[in-house]
Amino acid sequence: MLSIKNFLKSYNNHRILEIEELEIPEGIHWFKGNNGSGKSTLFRSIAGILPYRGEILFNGLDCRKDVVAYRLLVNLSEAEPMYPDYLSGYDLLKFIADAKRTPTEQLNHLAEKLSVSQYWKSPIGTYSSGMQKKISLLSAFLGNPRLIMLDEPLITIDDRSVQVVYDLVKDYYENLGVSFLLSSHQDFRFEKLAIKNMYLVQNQAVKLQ
Amino acid sequence: MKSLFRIFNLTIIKEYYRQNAVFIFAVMLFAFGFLRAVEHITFIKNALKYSSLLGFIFVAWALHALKVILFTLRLLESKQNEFLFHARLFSLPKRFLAFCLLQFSLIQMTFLYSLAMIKFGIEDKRWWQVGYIIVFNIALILIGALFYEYRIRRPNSEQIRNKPIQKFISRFQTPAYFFFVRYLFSKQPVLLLLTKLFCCLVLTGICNLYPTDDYDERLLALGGLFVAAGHTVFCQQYFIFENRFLLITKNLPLGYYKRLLNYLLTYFILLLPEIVVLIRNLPDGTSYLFISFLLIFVLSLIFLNHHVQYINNISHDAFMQRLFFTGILFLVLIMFKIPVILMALINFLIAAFVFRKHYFLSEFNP
Repeated sequence: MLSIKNFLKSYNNHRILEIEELEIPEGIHWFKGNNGSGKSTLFRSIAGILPYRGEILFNGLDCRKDVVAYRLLVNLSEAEPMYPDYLSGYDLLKFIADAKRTPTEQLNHLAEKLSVSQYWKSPIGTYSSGMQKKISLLSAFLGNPRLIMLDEPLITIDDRSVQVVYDLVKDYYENLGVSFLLSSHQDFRFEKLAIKNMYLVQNQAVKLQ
Repeated sequence: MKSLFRIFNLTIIKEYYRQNAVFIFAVMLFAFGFLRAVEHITFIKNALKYSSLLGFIFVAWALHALKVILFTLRLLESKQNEFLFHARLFSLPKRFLAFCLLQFSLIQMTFLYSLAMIKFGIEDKRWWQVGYIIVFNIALILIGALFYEYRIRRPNSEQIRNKPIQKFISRFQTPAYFFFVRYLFSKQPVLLLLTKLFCCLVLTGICNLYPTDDYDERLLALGGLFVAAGHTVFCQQYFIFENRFLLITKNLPLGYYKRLLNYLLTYFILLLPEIVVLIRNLPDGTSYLFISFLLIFVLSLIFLNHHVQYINNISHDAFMQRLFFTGILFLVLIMFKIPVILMALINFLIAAFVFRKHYFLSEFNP
């Protein structure tokens, strides 16, 4: 499914993460690691947001060469999303939904489910961090992705929303065959899910546990 | 007090000069590139002589002070600077003094010019005018400090947000090509106003100069070049905006042409005031076809300027040098009567090439 080769990510000549070879099969996978270990950097690189050295392929599609086809299949929800505070959540989600070729019903359904529709017409600047996080989580489920990466998906959201996220992951995996990469720096966060593999991100490397 | 001013220095003053380096460079270029020392002296002496001209200078200083005040208020409202509200715990005199120093540091550009005016005022024994200049500078500092003091006493930014306007706008969906335009209106209104004012004045001036002598279309093309140069700060702001708030767009399945079209539409919308000014002041004998080509040329220059921002590892100094020499190159090409539409086409092609090569490799290093 996901193939990473000769991956190197550094900032200002400081090595953050190096992966010689990593093959991730279909399923739900959990990436664990301390703060600053490079989990978010890895996810953002796989999503095509950050530049890197090496090769990332998803089902044979190259992140850099197959720009559109790859991004139609790979979605990301960031750990600490930052959006323009004068836009409404709806403005942003509609833009992402259109780009991901999402039917309007899917957007409305997800917004209802995550209780985003109650506030999404107000400017983002008026949202709490949890409300903003839910916008980011919702955006990751839009379109017809085959891989969804949720970076620290359970932080800042309330218990009800945690349950909704669990249900969505389960539903997308079991009924649509979507794979997931989840990250968390804490243990026992995804115990309700059928985790296939656990990866430990530490010392600028990723190891299968 | 030292720690308070130090934190203002790091979070606001440095940030202001970093973000406005291009604006300051453009002002310096205009003030010391086009005008010679003798012209400055004549200008200052006339300003000291005629109160209307001095008043005009005061308006310009006040506009600059308004720009720095709005910038500071915006930073104070941002979530990452919420810790600055701890300033409230310092005693009022210490806090107010720190705000005065903050404002004084931010208005250095106009203050240093006022020093030159004071020097000539003393030489010419124009004591009243010297007094006005000193009082005006003190007023600018005190007004800024009062604004900051007012703001620090009201930490909830919701109190000063213009809710009716926000409510009205939120009724409509904002298309993606309007995101940056709204960012400028919402976060950089003074920058937007000053840039548009500068560009429209340049175009009006050139259109009015055109019929006074035996000029040809090259003069209008030069005007277009200045307008495009004036938009450099927007290109830089766009790059910062995109990387800070909309990095997720790099994960969106949008083709290169769709992305390029989005930028083109955004800059076209931003150029609307210049288009109106140009059409309203169109000199006799200039064809609409040439004006259309000229506008495409201006758009292409801005477009190129936008896309070179994606090239990594170019220091600010190196970028400004390249920008300057590119400006000179275009100036020479215009003087050699190279058709503007040809230059525009080449600019678009280079911009598209740079974008394709560098967009997904670009990294933001604030």
